Amino acid sequence: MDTRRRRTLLPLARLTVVGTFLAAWEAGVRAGAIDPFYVSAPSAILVRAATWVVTGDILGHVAATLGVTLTGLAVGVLLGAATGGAVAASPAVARVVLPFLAVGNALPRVILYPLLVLWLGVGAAPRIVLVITLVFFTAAFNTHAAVRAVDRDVVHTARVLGARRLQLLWHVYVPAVAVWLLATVRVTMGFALAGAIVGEYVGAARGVGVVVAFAQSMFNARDVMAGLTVLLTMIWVMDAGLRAVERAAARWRLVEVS
Amino acid sequence: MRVEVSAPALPVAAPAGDDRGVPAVEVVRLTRTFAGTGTAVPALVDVSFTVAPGEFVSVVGPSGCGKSTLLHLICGLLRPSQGEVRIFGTPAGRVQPGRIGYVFQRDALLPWKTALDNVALPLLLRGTPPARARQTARAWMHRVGLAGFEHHYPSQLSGGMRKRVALAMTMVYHPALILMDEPFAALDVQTRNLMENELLALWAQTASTILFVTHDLEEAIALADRVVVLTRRPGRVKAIYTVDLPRPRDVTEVRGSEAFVATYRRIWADLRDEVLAAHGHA
Repeated sequence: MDTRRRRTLLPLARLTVVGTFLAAWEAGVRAGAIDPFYVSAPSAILVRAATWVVTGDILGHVAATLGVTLTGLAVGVLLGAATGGAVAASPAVARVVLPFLAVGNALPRVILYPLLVLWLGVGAAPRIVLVITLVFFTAAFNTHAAVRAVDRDVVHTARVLGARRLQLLWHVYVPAVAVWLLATVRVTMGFALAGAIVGEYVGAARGVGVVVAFAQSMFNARDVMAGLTVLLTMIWVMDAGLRAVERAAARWRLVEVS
Repeated sequence: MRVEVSAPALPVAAPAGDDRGVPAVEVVRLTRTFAGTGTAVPALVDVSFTVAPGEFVSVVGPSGCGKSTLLHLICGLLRPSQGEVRIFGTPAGRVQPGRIGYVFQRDALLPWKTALDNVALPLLLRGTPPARARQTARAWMHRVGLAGFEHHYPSQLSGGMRKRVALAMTMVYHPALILMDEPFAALDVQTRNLMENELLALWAQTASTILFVTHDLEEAIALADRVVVLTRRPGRVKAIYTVDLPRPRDVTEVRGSEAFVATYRRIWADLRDEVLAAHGHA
């Protein structure tokens, strides 16, 4: 299949999959084959989600979840990148720090959340810290690997051309690592959102997770599903935004692929 | 006409002001050994030669004879085990980075910068304002025949074009000495001859000194004023030959001339023994 045909056919095929699934679900509910108590119906879920948006009820929750997710993601990736860079730059630092990183990465950090609440209160702070712990280790390991993968000949060339340490960092290491870092952000975005939601689920005043938890306690499948729809939309928008950034920032790499 | 260490065939272009009278490169009884398993492995032994300012000197030898090691020692990336290297009178390693240019076999351009930004990079590193750096870089892109490709990334350029960018990137900051490590080895023959001619043209314009390492004797003769022949590993200087061919040269045409063939025969007689010995046919 040539690229142009693929470009038109692929979204069509994906839409067909989603459409068929939703149509079968809706038809099943209307025919009485599926009990809407457990799963509700696509039409009802969409109407509910649309109402939330129109009345503005959901916007405060979306903003709260988004704020925690993006703050934690940004701080976690930056801290992770700095740590990974330091580990890659200095063998001494690597020997000291790497074992801790490995253990920390293996630890299921979600179980720390109750402790974080105990220390930091019930505001946004414990959730942001949870998101940071979820993102940090992946960012650190990826940056470490990215720095080590930088082409030695390119470094050599820049040195011979007269690059000093900071210039080498700016002209060679930062661009080389940036591509990996963007990929890291895309991968860890899912962790970040999960961290924010889990925190809200366990206890918070605002957030999409709060809405879902409340609906669940009322056995309201429709509202749970509508909450998930809102989350899916948020993920989709964030991912599309990141893809655009990636395309703009890594043009040199994409032209190589095409 | 064997070993004759001084006096280049062509007293070429004038040296840059303060360097007058001082050799561009002085390699004095240079020995370099590498730590092997248990024993020290010699790569170069007692190598001596000089290169005059503005001269074009080729170094040939069988593969593994330490040609690249020699360049690393000259540009200060490696330290000699014994002996010394002086660049315009300054010990290698203490030379300011801007004085030496180095063109590698692999054109290691910065893949995330456009061709133009690659060429402008050495100027930026020296603190030239970006606008002026790009202006100079654009002129050099033009000079190496890449006008119109300024905004292409290295991945979008052919091997020959990338090599031109690498050349422009080296020449843009006017290094007094350019070291070249088999720069055209990866190119096809036509592109290679084209690049060799362009290198000679650029060299004639810039009056820089070039030390050109290759395993290709024809290339070495076609380009150089003198050819240094190294022995098989560990590399020693077997002989140094003067190439008496008129300039300006066209590397494809010059190969047909009688003088070229005679020079080739003479040097090949020396080199063949070393190549055969290196492959165990002594």
